[in-house]
Amino acid sequence: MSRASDISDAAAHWLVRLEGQTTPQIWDSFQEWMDQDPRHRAAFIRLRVAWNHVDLLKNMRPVDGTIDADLLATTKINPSSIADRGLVPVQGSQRRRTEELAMPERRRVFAIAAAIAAAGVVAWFGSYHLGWKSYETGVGGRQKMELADGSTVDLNTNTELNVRISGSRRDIMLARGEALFHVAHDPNRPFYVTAGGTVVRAVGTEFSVRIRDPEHVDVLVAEGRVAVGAPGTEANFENPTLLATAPKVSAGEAASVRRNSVSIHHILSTDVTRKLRWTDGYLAFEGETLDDAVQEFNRYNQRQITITDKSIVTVKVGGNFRTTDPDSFTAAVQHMYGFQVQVGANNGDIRLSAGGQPP
Amino acid sequence: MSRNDERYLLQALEFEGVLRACLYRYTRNNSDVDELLQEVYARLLTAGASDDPEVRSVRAFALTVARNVAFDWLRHRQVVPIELVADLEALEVLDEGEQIEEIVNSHQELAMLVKAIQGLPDRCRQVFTLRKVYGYSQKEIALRLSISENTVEQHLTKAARRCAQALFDQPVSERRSMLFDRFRKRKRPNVQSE
Repeated sequence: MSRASDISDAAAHWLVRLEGQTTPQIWDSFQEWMDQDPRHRAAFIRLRVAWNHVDLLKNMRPVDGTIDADLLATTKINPSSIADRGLVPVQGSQRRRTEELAMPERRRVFAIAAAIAAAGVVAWFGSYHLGWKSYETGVGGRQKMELADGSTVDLNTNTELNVRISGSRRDIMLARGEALFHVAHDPNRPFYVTAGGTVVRAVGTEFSVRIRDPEHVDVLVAEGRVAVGAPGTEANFENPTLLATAPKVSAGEAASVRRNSVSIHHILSTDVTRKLRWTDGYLAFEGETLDDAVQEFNRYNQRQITITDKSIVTVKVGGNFRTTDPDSFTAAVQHMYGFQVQVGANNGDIRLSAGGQPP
Repeated sequence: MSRNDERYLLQALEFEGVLRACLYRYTRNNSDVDELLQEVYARLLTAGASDDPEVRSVRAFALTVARNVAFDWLRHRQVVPIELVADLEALEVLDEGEQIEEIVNSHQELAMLVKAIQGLPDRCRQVFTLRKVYGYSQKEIALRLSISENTVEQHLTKAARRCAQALFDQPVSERRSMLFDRFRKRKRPNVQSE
């Protein structure tokens, strides 16, 4: 066996070991191993990226809550049918889905049996995983919708969300972007949001989740309380012990979730409202830096703003603006601070610089 | 934007197939490719941590690193067939021109993944399924399947390596897209009005 293979093997072993029971000693010897050789770290990162990505297979969990260790066996699933159909049906109307769920058990069994008879096992496999529904907004887009359980969701700009409501749980996969959830109270059907490697569990509450990158997610709670599992931690909240010990974020708190860490801070209720103004199509600033404000606008617009002078990035800004109207914003800072605004002729991109004369 | 030292490596994973192909030209054998690839990734990590100016094309940079690693390796072996050197000179250009940007959709990526999992021994596949599809803890899997936690760990270790292979170590023509979309810094999908 070559040394490369040994390193990969050791890296895989660490990855799996850290998912199990971790003690400070194990963690220390892991760090020691990581520091021994940059190849160790590189091999670990490669496996970690793959391993986290594989979590997308959670989409395959049957809607009825049954557990089958052989779900992926060759006799049950044909990779080429996945290649054609995928696991998350993008088509299909919400109403039809609700009807199917409301169908009496016997009729459902009959319907499935009929489907098998009509189209063979491959089609049956497709229907087996039905129940996921996808929603998407483009840059500058925004959408409000009601789910089958009575919960409402606001999708912010450039967001993709998959939803599955079953009798025992409600699953949301936030693939990218940001969403605000107003969760209908139902203690028998916990509401799970997974975003990157982060898991958020609620039963009835209002909170928003934003993916900054796969291992950095922001959670803001406006009402009630949610449990949060950081990437890299055991976050199977169906396990009562893990649920009890998980970090909780309450109304008026925001959490910044990163690998193995959840940092929670309190925010003023007026700030909660302000940070959720995007649901009405507004950005409200109150002392944010110019740099942060610009990054916000760039999320909502194809036309990007760039700050060309480092000296002005920390200038504090305030005011309410339409998310899709960067010109009003740049006009405001031009007026307030005398900054120079240049708009590109072909793409409309905006450059902000300190400008010649002070106001 | 946070500058973490993993950024070059994360991007390079996206075209691992190209890097492997590049290294293969020098080594002509796959186990040496594995060896050298690890060194390439290690150097990309180190480069990511340095204060050097930001690399503009990670692809071109990673290929240069790969070539340097291969040359070091050849030098270390001392014997370099002359025709190989000539061959390599000619290939310099080819590497840069190899801008194949084939997009494989997420369905195909999933299919490849499932196929790879199906290649695992039955027990290993079952342990993997309980962990990754159903989110069982290692302890719960051990109880459910009446095997030791140590065995669960071994199965998952094997499965993890297989997954990485399925996702990264693909011929260039079978590039996946979804996995890496998340690392791309600036995306500009089509505008959708409110």
